Amino acid sequence: MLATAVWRPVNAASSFLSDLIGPELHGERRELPLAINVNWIALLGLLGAVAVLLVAFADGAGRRGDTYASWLYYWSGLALLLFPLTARMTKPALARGERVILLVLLTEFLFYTVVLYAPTNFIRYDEVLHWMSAYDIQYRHRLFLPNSMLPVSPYFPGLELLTTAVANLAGVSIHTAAVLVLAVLRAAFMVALFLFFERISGSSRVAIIGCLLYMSGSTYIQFDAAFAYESLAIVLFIMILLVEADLSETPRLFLLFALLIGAVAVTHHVTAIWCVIYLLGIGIAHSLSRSRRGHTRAPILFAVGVAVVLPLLWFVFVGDMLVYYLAPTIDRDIVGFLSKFTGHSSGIPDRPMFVSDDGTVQPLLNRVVGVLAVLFVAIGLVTGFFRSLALTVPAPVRGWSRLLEVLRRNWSDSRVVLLTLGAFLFPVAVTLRLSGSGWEIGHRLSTFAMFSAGLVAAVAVVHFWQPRIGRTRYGSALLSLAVATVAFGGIIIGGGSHPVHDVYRISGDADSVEPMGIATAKWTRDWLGEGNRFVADRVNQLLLGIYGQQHIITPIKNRVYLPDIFRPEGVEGDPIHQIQESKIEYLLVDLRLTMGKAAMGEYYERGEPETPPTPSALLKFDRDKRAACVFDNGWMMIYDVRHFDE
Amino acid sequence: MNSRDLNAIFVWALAALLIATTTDIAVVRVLVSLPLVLFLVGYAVLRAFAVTPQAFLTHSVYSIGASIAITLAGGFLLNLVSGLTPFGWGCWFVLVTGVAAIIGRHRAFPWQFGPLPRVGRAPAVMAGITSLIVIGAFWQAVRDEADVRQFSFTEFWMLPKPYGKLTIGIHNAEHRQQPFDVEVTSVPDSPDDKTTGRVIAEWHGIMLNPGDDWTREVDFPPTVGYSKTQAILYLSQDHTIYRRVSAITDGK
Repeated sequence: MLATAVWRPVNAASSFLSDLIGPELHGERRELPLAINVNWIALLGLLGAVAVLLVAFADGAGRRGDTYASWLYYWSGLALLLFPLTARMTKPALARGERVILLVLLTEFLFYTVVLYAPTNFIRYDEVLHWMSAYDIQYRHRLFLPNSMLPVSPYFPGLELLTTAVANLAGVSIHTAAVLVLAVLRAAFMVALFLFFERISGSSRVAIIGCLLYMSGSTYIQFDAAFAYESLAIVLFIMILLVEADLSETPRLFLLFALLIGAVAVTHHVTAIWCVIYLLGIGIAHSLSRSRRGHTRAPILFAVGVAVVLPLLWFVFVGDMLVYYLAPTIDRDIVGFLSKFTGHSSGIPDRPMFVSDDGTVQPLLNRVVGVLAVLFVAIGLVTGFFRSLALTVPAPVRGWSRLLEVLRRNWSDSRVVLLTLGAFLFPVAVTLRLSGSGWEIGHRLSTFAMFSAGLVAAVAVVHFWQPRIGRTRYGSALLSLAVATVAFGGIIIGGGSHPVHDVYRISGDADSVEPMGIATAKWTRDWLGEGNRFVADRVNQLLLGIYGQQHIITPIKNRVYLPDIFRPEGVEGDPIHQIQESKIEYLLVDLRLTMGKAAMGEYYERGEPETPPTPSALLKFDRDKRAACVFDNGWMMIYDVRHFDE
Repeated sequence: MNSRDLNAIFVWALAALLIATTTDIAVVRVLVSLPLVLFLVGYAVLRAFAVTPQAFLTHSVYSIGASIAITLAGGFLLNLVSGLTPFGWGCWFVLVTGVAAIIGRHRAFPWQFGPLPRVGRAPAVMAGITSLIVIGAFWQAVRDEADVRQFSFTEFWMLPKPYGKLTIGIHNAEHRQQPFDVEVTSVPDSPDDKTTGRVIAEWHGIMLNPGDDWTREVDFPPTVGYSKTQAILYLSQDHTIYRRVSAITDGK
């Protein structure tokens, strides 16, 4: 009896655990054809429009310094946008066409909130860097012109070429063309992702939930919607995945496949590498699979060959530029992260969750939602991992026997196996994001990790949670709320501490771009001419580069350390040495930097002291007869230091 | 319908070239060029080579991908012939769609479309209101961007010019009219140097409205070697120093 008393709860617990994480697929695979409900689409569109109007009010309130009102408008607007649309899209019985239309609606409304942040010009750091390259293509009509602030950008001109093609034919500005192009790309990305998930899972419900969960990736809401090369590359990436899934059955798709690989090779280096990794993984999985040998191997091998050769040829053409660009990031981020385990300090402090570099803490509700989002995804991964693998083993095999078949390499779709295993990248990305040195890589990794995590968690929702708790109206609402919370949490994490406009912030990238800085940069072009060798702080470098068309001296291609020019109290020593060594002609000094901490953690360069530069240090060139202050607007001064050579 | 869609796309590309080179009406140019660059050219090429999945939605996505790739290829080729201009781009798309129309002239249209869902009055009205609200949101964002200026400022500058001249300028970006005085002096080489430090030029009561500019040219006196000249901007009402700039001039 004692044994029974002990065994019964153990048995119950193991049965519960087996049911929770096991490979049983409870969701229906066959979907009934249903009609699109136009009324619902129109109503949700109207709610979405009201939501973006609230976001517009939020940005305006933020610009005027009314932080409370801006946060209230912004988060209520996003909630109004996300929750109703998510609730409708995740209904078990819904027309496929309606799911797609609502997905496109949600995608475009979310993109529109990003556009409203800066409706007439680029102000985000990465966007201005690419704007410089696009400017050269548009107005100088040539490729590969140097970009002093992002030297590798002219050699991956995909997005800039596409945008300037539209700008040229449409006769609009680069910004307008970029917004139009990105709007199309965002919709194309989401539809392609939907089709890919549907193709490999056999379910439009899994596909739509997978797409919604993908939106929780930290790069989705802003980074991959920005005018930067990854925004185009990620679209090409998912299209490559979609085309590859059909290659065996439609050999003519090789033409399109090769075109897409060529396009991604000249668009973004890291995405091209991810293509190779994915296709190699597919190739290996195909080779290991016992059930798909023979006629499917050749197409995959050819695809892998094309995916390796085309980018490689381009990388050889680009040459050392790519190495100089990627190597320092890899060295700093990966080595720094690994140093945690070897006991050596990387020198870069860990990042506290939900706290920006200037100390701004996100509201409590945001933090709770952000943590819940990660938790829900983790639950989805745990309850979906084995189920996702089980998708690749067709009936009549059931239960844990399906996994045995997978272990015996009898899976039918290598893509699902590879993506399911790829779900392990999600916790890796989250961990890297929490570390100071690995944040950048973790942030970028999430773009690709979410393909796997989204699929696996979606399988869990459709094949476990929805049948378990989603059969009642209350349970269905709860599930929709969970999915929407995940997407919402991703927006919180990806949007950072200042997703909505704010007043001027010191060294705050987009929040530091304002009319006075732009006017100063334009003045340099009007009165000093283009191409002068300038140094400045992080934000003014951008403005001088694009509005002033000046040649910005940065550590990327010069042996210069900007803090050694601006921070010392005296001119002699490091400042003169740096000016002479790098043949600097002009300095721009911004006294606003002396007034507080840098919002992005750096005034001039990463790794400099956290304290603001002093006014006396910035104004030291007034005391030297070899320097002339040629411009003064009360906040910003421009010094002519050409005579330091004499 | 045989290949009329390919012929129509070719005509569309011709129209885009014509419109891009003859008119400045942005709305028309956008409506013609955006679908061409991001969809039609890829659609035409895939149709011509019979890369036509059964589902039109999938083909649409493929068309966007193919359009992107074809546009990038065109960009590299146009760069070789210095053709990254509206005319160059227009010619590229005419060429590609023309070739596609020729290659695909015997290919049958592979899809059949069912009737579109009926749109009642209520959803049509809601769609109209939605459009107005979306446009209103953009208008609000543009207005806020233009109206909110955290910093008001006055720019003051002095630059050396050839042939012994200096250019001095003021730009008023404050919110109110401001009267200024300007004084240009040579900077002493040392505190004991009495031969420099002279007033070279001065102006009083310069009245500038917000947005106004003021520029003057000054002759600086001949010197041996390099010398520094200074200009001070005063607020006229109390003669306080507002801005200070300098320029290094070559005495040659």
